[in-house]
Amino acid sequence: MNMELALQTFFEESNELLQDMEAILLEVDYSTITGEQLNALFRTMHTIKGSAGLFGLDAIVLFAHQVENALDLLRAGALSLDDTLAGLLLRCHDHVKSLLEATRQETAAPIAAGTPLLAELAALLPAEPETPEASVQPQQPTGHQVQRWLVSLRFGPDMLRNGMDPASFINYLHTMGQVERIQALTVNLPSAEHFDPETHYLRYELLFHSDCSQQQLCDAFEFVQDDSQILICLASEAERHFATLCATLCTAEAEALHQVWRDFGLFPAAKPASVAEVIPSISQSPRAGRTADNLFIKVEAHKIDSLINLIGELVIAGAATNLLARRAADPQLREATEVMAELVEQVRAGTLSMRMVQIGEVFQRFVRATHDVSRELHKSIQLHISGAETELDKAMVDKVGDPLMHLLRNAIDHGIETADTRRQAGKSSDGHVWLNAYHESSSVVIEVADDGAGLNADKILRKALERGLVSPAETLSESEVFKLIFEPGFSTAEQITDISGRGVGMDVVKKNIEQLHGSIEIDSILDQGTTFRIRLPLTLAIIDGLLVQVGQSTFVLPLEAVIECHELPASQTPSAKRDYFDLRGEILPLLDLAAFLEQPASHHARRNLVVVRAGIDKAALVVDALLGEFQTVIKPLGQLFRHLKAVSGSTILGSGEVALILDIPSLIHSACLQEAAELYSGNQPQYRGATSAQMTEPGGKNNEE
Amino acid sequence: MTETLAIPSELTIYQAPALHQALAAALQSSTALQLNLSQTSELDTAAIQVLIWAQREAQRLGKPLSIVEPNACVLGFLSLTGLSSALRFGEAQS
Repeated sequence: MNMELALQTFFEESNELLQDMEAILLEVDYSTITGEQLNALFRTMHTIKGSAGLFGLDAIVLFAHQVENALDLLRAGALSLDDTLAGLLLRCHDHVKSLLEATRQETAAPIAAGTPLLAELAALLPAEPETPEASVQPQQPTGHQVQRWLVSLRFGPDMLRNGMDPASFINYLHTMGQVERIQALTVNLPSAEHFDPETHYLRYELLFHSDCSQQQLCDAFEFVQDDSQILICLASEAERHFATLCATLCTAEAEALHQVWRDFGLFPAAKPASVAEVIPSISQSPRAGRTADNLFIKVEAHKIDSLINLIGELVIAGAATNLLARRAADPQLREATEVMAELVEQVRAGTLSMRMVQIGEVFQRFVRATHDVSRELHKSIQLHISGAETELDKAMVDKVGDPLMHLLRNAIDHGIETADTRRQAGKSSDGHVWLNAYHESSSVVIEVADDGAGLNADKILRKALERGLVSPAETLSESEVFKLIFEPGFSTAEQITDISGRGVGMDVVKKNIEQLHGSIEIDSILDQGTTFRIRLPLTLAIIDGLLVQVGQSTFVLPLEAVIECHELPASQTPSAKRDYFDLRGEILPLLDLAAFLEQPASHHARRNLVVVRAGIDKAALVVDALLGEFQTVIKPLGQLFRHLKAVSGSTILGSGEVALILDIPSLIHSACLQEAAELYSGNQPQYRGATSAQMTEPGGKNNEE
Repeated sequence: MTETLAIPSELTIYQAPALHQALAAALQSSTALQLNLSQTSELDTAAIQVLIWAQREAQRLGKPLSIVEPNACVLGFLSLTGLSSALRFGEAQS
């Protein structure tokens, strides 16, 4: 019953429709567009117009009406879709979107911006009567002939509560034609205390004269289609639909309906209704193709958030119970708590999956962006999307959009060369950009790749030297050089365009990704292309952790980063000097957590090694004891601890103790730095692009022995 | 004696629950009831449903309830929504 809520629904619906419209305009091949797609296109604007009318949003109605007219001509074949028209329609789409946004924000609608668009549309419209094709459309569903329709409306019970009134729809019908008869049926109104003043109980039968098509009439009710039973058919054919309609009704309603239809003169031959032909009529609804929508329930985000919060508490409480049960040494109690833990785990997974949305939603925006950017730059770009169905936490999907957009624009602007340059390099003149998403262990990887010029390591290094970002004495591997482009204020663009290259951006991209606990890598081959690879955790709320003990404190390592655990070989007590660990021939940097975290020296006779990974980097961490797996609800750290590099959050253990969650990428970074520092102090200038194995094999072994 | 129930000039879903309660209570307590719709300025389907319900309840309970002096706003709404025959109007009594 709340108008605000209804408006909210209207905005959401309209935005979805606008997305549909955009998708169709961008995806179709103009020459092979199907009637169905044209219909869908028409329906988007038509529905927006209709719904906007219900809310009295005249500015939107007026504008949408003109667009709808153009789309109607398109549908009728009087106009054909080409680059210019698609461009105009896209701009109209943008204008409707900005009108909607202005309404939502309650700011002044930018109506003036639509005037030139209206002029362009108007230029298309009057051409119609002269166009020969328009008259030779024998099977046009939009026959402009007035017909007598039966409109049977059984709106859903929640309609009033949702802020809509049947009277508005009937008023709207009055704008589309003439209502000959209208009869409301009140048989469903319950008596006594069963009556709820906010529930809708009525049924409306109308005889209606209009030149609109069945489709257009159905579209008028698109807004309430999902929970209403609506039949619109020619009055002369109504009789055939009676049986189907009655099949879903109670006897009283069916009898009343029969009475009304008889009054309307819809049963000419006084034939008993029961022998009427059974024709599936309701399933002919225009949105039959969207029935999948009905499988979804829209839930307010904060409800899920508070549920997830509760699950988090449940996980902690469960862990406490487990701990107590283990101490009590009562096998039955233990068994019971284990079953509980299993269920909690399932509930947790289920709840988190509710927050998961497909990343395709974000990718869709890029189709349009590519289209616009490539036009502006006069480059022909083909965008290839794969893995759009990969699921990611909703909060992440929202936040990853901007950095991705930036990378994409960069790829098109700086990555892809001009058509001439490409031809000279022996490439196809069309540039290709790939957006790819996939799951890898418990993270999501999103790649933005192009087949452009690639990153020029020498140029980047020169620039970095100029700006004093690196000292000439430093030797950097290629990947380290690439990482320099993420430094603040670094831009190699020779030509600064509108799209990108203002010298801000890549550092912001990196910061954004890191805020999501993600990481970003670059692969680039000169003249062949560049790939940016973003790795994100699946969710921000709860992780599986490995509980480890270091000194007197307990820490959590995200389980997704842990590869394996080992006992620290007695021969390999970490020395203060260079540390490494030989894992079956693979040499890994070794980091003693106790020393690194400045914990008091431990008295454990046996210590353990945890091999961890972040991206492609691996390291071995020395811990005192492994305490087992633990589901961890991440609690953010306060402002005070913001500068702590290697800690990403905290959690509360079953025992009530606080444990810090360690940030693996920065730990590995530290391990590498420490090693590098020792290398340099040891006066062993080496190109670190070589694998660590080559680097440590000869010297390292000798040191140990 | 006939009790005249005060009817707000706005009769919409916002008033419908209160109207429903007031009518339910009045149907229990009074012997005869009169609703005057001459001052109605706004009306919607939710409110009309309550009025239809009240009239049926009165009949079921055997208590006289008359709805009187519908103004143009009320009659216009009823004819728009095809509910003209759903409400019966009586003669105003003072």
